[in-house]
Amino acid sequence: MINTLKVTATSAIELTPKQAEIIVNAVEKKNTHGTKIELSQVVDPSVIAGIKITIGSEQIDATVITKLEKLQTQLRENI
Amino acid sequence: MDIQLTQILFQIINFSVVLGVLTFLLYKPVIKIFDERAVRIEEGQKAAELAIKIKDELDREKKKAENEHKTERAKILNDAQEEAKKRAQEIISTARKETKEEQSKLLDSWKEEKIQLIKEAKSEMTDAIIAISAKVIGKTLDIKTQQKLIDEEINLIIKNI
Repeated sequence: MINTLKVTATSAIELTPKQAEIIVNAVEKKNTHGTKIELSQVVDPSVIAGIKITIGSEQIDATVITKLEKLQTQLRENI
Repeated sequence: MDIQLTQILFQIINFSVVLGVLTFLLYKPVIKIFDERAVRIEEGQKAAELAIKIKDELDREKKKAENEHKTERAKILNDAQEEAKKRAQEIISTARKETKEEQSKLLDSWKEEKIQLIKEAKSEMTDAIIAISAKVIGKTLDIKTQQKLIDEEINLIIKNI
């Protein structure tokens, strides 16, 4: 039985096939267990721009909304 | 007119008898009454003098007592005024101190409130700026720029995977 690693890419607009391929390839290179990569795309305009990639339980968030939220937190801390 | 010697003698004797009787029955009692009256008057005078003396003494005592009373009253009044002044001073001093403390507390409270309000205002302003920025960025970015941003982020992410 082949194990599947679920990868979710969230962005404000749909990814191009090339972008999806780059993500899958990068995850496959990192993955040494030979599991199958299953990429699912989520279009969420609330992220504004950028991309958020979830690999299993790990999450890499590079969306503009998250960056703005971090900026907001920093500004509040400095008040 | 003949002068009868017997008759003259009789008149002398008669006059002497009347004089003796009058002296014994009228003169002596009257003199005695006068003497007694004089004694009574003298005693009355002495009593009056004594009464005047006592009255003077009493007046002096009264005056002395009044003066002492007056002095004591003045002293009590003066002491009371001094005490009242002291108490008033203490009350004023305490009130001033309490007012100062209250003012200080209020000022501190007001300053804290001001700082808190400024913080809240800044925080709200930050939220507004972020919200506006999010909207502006969202509206400004076209598809091409979005794709470019995604490419850049993917390149950064795959380096870290």
